[in-house]
Amino acid sequence: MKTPSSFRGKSAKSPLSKKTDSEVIKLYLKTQRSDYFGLLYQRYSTKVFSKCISLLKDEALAQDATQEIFTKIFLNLAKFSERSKFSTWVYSITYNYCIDFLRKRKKSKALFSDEMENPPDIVDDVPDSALLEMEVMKLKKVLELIPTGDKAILLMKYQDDMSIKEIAAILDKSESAIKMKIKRAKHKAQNVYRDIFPNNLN
Amino acid sequence: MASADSNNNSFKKLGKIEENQAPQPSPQTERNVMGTARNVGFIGNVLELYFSKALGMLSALFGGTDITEKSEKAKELRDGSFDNDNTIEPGGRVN
Repeated sequence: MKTPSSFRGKSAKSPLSKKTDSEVIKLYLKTQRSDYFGLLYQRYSTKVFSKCISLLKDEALAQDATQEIFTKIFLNLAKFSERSKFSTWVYSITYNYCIDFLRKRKKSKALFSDEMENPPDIVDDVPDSALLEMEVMKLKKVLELIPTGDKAILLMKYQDDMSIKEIAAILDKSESAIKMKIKRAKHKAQNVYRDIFPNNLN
Repeated sequence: MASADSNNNSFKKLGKIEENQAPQPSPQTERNVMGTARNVGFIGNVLELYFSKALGMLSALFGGTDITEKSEKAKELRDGSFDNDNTIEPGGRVN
């Protein structure tokens, strides 16, 4: 993993790098030393930044978002309860920030396919394997073409292994609403795939 | 449930590719984040060190008992160093 400039070179030698996220958080809360928080920044900044670029599609916005997200993480670190993994908590703040940002900016535009005027009728469930086994570059193309909210919800479920309950908490929706959103997002992704790659059976 | 095995999961493979291809957050972003962390930490330490003293002084100023004085007295009592004017002996007999 790439590391931010001021921590490069330190991480490999430092015994701190062997500590788990949970141990680093405890040390930070106990001592308030900023280098412990720096270690968490080092571990997650590239992942958070890459998610922000993927969702916001703008590098400058992603820089600002990364800064805001880490400030939020820092200010709420004492509230982290370890009910979920720290990475899940960090990504939930990331998705929450990006979705909120896009909602505010787009206002009238639908962020999820089921918010469109005529949401797609769903008869059959798309099997997980249809998406999970899709060729990576084709999946990338498909994710670029579906609504950003649909992309986010699919990434939460299939890339970050978040549970329905965790996604529901991030999007402030009921678990059944989330199940429906995932179903619609999968359907949307499959339709886009068939449109852009009509000759593929995958 | 999504498969945890990244060998069969194109989402995870894509995540890794995007992470490797993504540029680093700028050094300025890192400086800003770490600056906030240091400043908040500093303010927290200042509050922790001086707030109780300031509160005690304010309390004394308005005629109350300085809480820091109270806690020092309590510490002395815990340590067993009684005041000279203490009229109750450990055995309970009143002079």
